[in-house]
Amino acid sequence: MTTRTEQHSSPPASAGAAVLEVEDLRVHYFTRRGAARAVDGVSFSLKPGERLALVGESGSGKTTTGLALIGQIKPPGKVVSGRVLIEGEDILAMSDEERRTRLLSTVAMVPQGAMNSLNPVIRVRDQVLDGLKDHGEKFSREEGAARVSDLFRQVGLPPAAASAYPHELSGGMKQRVTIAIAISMNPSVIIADEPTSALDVVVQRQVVTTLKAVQERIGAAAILIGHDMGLMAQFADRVAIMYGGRLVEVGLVRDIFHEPLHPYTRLLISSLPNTLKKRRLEAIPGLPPSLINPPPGCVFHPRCPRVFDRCRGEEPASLSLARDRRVACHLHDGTQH
Amino acid sequence: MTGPQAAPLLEARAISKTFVSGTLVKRRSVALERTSFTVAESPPSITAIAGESGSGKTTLARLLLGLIEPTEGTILYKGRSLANMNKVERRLFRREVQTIFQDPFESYNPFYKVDHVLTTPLSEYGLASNADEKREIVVRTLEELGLRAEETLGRYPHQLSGGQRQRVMVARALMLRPRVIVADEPVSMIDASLRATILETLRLLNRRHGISILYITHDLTTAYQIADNILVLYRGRVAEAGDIDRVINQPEHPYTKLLVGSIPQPDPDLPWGAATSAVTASQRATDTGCNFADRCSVAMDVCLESPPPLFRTNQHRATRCFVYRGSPVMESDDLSSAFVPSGDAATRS
Repeated sequence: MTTRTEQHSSPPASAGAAVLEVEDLRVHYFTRRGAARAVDGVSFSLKPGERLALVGESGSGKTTTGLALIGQIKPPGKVVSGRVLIEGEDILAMSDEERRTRLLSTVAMVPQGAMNSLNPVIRVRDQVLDGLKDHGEKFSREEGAARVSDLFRQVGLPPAAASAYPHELSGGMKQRVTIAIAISMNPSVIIADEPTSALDVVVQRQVVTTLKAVQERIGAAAILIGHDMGLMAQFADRVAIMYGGRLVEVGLVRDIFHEPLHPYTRLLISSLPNTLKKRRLEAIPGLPPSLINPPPGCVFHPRCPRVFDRCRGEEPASLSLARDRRVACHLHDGTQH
Repeated sequence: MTGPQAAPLLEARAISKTFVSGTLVKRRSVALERTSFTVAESPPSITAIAGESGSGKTTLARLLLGLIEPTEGTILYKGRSLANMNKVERRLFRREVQTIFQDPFESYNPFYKVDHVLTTPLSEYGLASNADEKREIVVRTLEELGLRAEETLGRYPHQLSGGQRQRVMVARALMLRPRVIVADEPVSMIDASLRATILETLRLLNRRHGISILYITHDLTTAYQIADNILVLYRGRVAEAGDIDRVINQPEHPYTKLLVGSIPQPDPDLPWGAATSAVTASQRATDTGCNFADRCSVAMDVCLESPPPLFRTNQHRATRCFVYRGSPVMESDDLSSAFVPSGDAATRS
């Protein structure tokens, strides 16, 4: 097994100047049946240019985390605690107006399902330019057209697509338009929430490859949110695994796939179908936890094959095991086995 | 035909489906073109029907279920054409050929408890003589599929997880003692940790209950894990068919190669290959030629002139591509003549 190092108190300090720092983020949804703790104490940071995969199943809190990073938690949701520092500024402490000016220019979102995020009655060119105008940019008709065709070239769209309405474009092309909008103000962080979930596998590869290429070109950090571990293996430098509103493991992509530490990560990887080897797929027994009445102790303990007494009563802290490696599991804190 | 001893259970004979749209100017779109294959009575098999959106895979599923009628060709169940069945035969067909849909939520009526969806078909087909027997069948079936009756019955659909809802639909299908199950993207809406459970459940139905499964999917990885044979559809035509091990591991058709090459493998050390696809403008699709020619990196003149037939490149494979014109043309329309018998390969344990 891995080296067991002592516990550090803070997230990896090796990050240098992090472009994004999330500290103890908690987002709860207040429902009639009680508060659902969708995000419950999430901390991580992102270096400039780094690609992070935020992986989880439905209800794990990954999409809520993504929304919190752009300050878009709406009632009945509420950010209960935590800070989201983008280039040192707390996005959660800003007024709506201040935050608006940061969207696109500092942090941009590529939404899930481009089909629904573009306005069907406006030509895509004008939708790209609207974002720029929102930020007070002034340009002539010709300059605007040139900006759009330059952005379209970067995302692999033909210039003629600019005058199309969304319904005239294929799903993959529409998703490329949303990427063009996201990079139009050179943000330092791009957040993409399942950008390819409705696309076919061939188009999916093209869109993710495009996203990676433009992200590298403008030097932005990127967070890809999703549940497809295969896609994450192809995209990310680092992987963060969410379960029941917590980050259960964070590590470099190779470490996560080749040597998963948290039992959930391990099961998630062994339950993945692939075309390399035919085998009996390992299922994860049980069901995802209730966010309103989460199980005591470790949130994964009712489904964990390696559960022991301590897991049932004590919530595991997030342990820093090595550079860029954190895991929240009692198996790895060195005091008990 | 697959041989004299294996009478076909479900048979598609050269079926095509053309949809016509528009009120004044009619537009015809061919969703499925002259496709033939059979599901044998025994041994029970798992056949994947794979393709992207617009490939015709869902049309094929709906045709086989009798939900829509073919424009040309015939579908037979136990030797009887679906189009000419009498009431008794149709009832038998409806019970013995079951389906599992993609979104388990849409298959439910939200105002009824889950029990309703399970007990109604039992009454409908007279499979239980009284309430006790009904309950016993329901409980036994749920438990066989790893669902606890006390956690499932008496609840409303929204109170179950997606994985549970899908397994309840599998339980419903299983109680009717079907011979064939058409599963249309049964795991695409299910979370990764629960996906394996559903796939193993399908395998159990096949192995233990002798049910043949047609697994309709866009996902080659899950198909590879459970199916014996595969049909790869592209814009309504079968591009490649046969033993799934061969088709996935050594794809022949340029389209299958593109699909397999686009699978994101869950291993950072196995990156996507360079895109072999580059949607080239060099070739244009023609109405007369191969329908993949406009995207094909190896297209030749002949590909624009006439549609390629299926070439029998191997005992267990058929490929619709002129690159393989050295191989004999398939002698029969029936794609299942290129299938491997299920459960044959020792690798599938």
